[in-house]
Amino acid sequence: MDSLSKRAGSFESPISRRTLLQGGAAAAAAGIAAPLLAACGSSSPNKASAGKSSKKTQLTLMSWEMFEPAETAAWHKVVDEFMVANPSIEVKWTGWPFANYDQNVIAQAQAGHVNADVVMCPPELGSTLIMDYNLCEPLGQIADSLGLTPNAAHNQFVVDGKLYLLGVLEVAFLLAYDQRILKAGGFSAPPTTPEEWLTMTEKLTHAPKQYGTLLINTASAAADMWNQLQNWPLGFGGVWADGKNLTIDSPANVKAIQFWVDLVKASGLAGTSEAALDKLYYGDQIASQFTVGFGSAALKQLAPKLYPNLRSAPPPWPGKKAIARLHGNVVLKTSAHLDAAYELTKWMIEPKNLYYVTRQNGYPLIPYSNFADKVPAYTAFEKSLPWLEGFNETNYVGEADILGDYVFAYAQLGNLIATNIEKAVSGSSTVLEALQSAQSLAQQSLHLPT
Amino acid sequence: MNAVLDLARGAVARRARKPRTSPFPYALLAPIVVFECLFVIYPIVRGILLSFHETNFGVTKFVGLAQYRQMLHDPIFWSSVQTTFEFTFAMIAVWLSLGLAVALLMNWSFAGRGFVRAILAIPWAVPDIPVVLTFTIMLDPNFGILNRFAAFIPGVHHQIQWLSAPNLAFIAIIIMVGWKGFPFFSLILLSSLQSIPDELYEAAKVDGAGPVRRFRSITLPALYPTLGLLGVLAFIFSFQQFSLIYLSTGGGPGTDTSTLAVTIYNQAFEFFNYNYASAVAVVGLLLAAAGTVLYIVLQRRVARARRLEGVNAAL
Repeated sequence: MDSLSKRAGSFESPISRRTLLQGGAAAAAAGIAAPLLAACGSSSPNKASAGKSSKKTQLTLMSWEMFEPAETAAWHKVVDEFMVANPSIEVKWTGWPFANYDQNVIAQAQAGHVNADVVMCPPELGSTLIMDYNLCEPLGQIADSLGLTPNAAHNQFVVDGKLYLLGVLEVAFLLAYDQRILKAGGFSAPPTTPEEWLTMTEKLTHAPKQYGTLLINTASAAADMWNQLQNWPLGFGGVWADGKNLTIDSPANVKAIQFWVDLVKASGLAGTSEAALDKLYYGDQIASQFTVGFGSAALKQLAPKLYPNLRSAPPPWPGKKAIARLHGNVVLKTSAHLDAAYELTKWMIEPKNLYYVTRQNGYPLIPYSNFADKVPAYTAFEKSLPWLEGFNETNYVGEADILGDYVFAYAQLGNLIATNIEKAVSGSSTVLEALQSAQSLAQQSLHLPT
Repeated sequence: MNAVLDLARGAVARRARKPRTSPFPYALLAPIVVFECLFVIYPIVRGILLSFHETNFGVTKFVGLAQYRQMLHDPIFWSSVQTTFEFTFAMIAVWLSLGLAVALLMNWSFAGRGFVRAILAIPWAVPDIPVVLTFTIMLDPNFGILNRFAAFIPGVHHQIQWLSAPNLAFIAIIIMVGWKGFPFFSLILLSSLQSIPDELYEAAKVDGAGPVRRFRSITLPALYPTLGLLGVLAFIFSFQQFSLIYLSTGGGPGTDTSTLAVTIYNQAFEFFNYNYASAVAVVGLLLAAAGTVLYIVLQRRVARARRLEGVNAAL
C-alpha cells in the first residue's frame, strides 16, 4: 500500500467525513448556544445563590481604591471591619482604575442604573451624579451624628442647603519642591512670586541633567495637562467661566497663560511627554512641580530618591489660591438598602477609621475642619510629614469657583483649552490666539445641561 | 462522444432529482451569522437609533435630527472631517508608494533576501502601544534622537516640536502610521510581483525595452488589480485609525490631528455625549462607505480603460 492509499484508507474509519463535520457543526452550535443560554438563564443560579445568603444584606461599594497598590490594603481593612461589626451586611467591591473610572460610572448612569449602593467619587463625578443626574441622597446628617464639620471643599456638593457627598480624602494643589536641588542652586526658600518662580526655573535648568519645573504641556496628556493648568487664572484674578459666561480669553487669563507658557519654555521641557516628565521627576531631576499632594505611601514607592527631599509651599502668586479636589462617598437613591449604605458611609468617615486610612496611606488632608479635636494624634501625624507645610498657607477653592456652570463640562472645556494652548507652547500661535480659538470653539460646541 | 453526453445527462438528472435541502450547510453558517448579527449588525443598528435620541440616566427621548443639526454647526466636527480625508489620502499615497518601492526591492535577487523579507514584517506585527512609545521617545523635542541629528544641520532649530506644532504633528503621525502599516502592502505586492511570468520581461528585453518601460508596460498593469484592492484597504485602514493618533497627539495641537475616530472617542468617552458621538459615527460610516464605493468605481473605470487601450493597441 503506497502512502497515498494509506492516507485514503484513513478516511475509511468508522467516523465518516460527513459525520465528523456534522458532529463539528453540532459542537460549534452548542458552543455558541451554551453561553447564550447560560446568559439568558443566568438569573436562576444567581437567585439560588442569593437565596443561600439571603440573610445578609448585599451592599456594593464602587471605588477605584482597589486598584491602588499602595492604598488598597487600608481601605479593605476598614471595610472588612465594618462587615465584622455588622454581620448582617456583606460589602462587595466593584469599580475600575482611576484613569477610566469616571467614564465607566457615567456610562452606567447613562444606561439607567449605577450598579452600586455607595459610590466613591472624584469631584467632577460627584457633581455630575448629584446635580446632573439627581441620583444621590443627602448625607449631612451622618457628619452631624459624628460631630464632624465638613470643610469648605464640601460646598461644591451642597444643593438647596443639603450636603450630598462626604469627603474621605482631599487632594489639593500646591508647589512641591525638591529642597536638595533648591539648596544646591543657591535658593534658600521656595519662590513666592511668579517672577521668582520663573527666575528659579531658568537658573535650575541644566538640561539634560536637571530641570527647573514640571508642567505637563502635551495634548496627548490633555486631561492631566488641564488638571494642572486650570489653576493658573487663580493667580491673576481670572476664571475660565463666570456662571454661564465663558471667559477663556479674558485679559487676566491671557496674562496667566503667558506666564505658564514662559515657565514651560524656561523649564526646557516643552513638548516632552508626560511619561518622560514623570520619570525625571521621580528620579529627583526636577526642582519643582505644581501638583496635588497625593498619598505619601504611593509617593514613597514611586519616588524613593525624591521623597526625603520633598517640601511644599503655597502657589507662588498673589492670593495663594489653588484648587482643592475633594474625593468622597455618595449614597445612591436607587440603593435597595439605604440604611446599610448610610451605615457604611458613616463607618468610612468615623474618625478612628478615617484617621487609620489617612495615616496608612499618607493622605495629606482630612476634609473635616475639627478633625484634630476628634483625633488629637492627627496633629502629630501632620507634623510628621515634612512636605505638608504648603497646605496650611494655601487658600483653597473648588473647581466650580473657576469653571462656573461649566463645571459639568470639566473634561470637554479642559480638552479644548489644553489642546489649543499646546499651539502657544510650540510657538505656532500666540497665547491670545490660542485662547480666542478655545473660546470660539467652546462657545460653539459646549452645551450646558438644561 | 455519446458516453460523455450520457454522463452529462446523468449529472443533470441527479441534480434535478436531489434538490439541496439539507440543513447542514446552514448549520455550518449559523455560528458566523449569529456572531455577525449580535456583534456587528445589532451594534450598528443600535448606534443609528441612538443618534436620533437623547439619553439621560436611562430615560431616552426621541429628538429626531437634533444631533445631526448640532453637527452642522459644530466646527470641531467639520475640522475632523477635513483632517480625516487629508490623513486618509496621505496614507493611501504613502502606503501604496512605499509598499510598492519596498516590494520591488525585495523582488530582486540578493544575498540574505529571505532574512530581509522576514524582518520586513516586524513593524506590522508590533502592537500599537510600543509603536507609540517608541516614536514618542524618538520624536521628543528634548531627548529624542531625531532632534539630536537635526541639531547638526545648520539653521535648523534644535528643539523641533514634532508632536506639538500643527503641521509637524500631522506629518509625524503620517510617518508613524506609514511605518507601522507599509509591510502589509509590501508583502501583498511582493506576492503579486512574483506571479508575473519572467518570460514577459525576457521578451520585453529582447524587444529592447529598458527598466522603466518594462515597469510601465509589464509590472504596473499586472499590479493594477492588487493596487486597486490595496487602495480600498488603505482607505478603510486609515479612515478608522485611532489608537496611534490618539495616544501620540490626543488629536492636538488644537484639532489639527483630530480625525473622526478621535472626535467620536472624545465625545463618547471623554465628554459623555453618547448620542452625539453616535450621530458622528453614523456620518463617519456613511462617508467611509461612500469613499470606498467611489474608489472601487473609479478603479474599475481605470482598469476598463486600460483594457480597452490594450485591445486597441492589439488591433
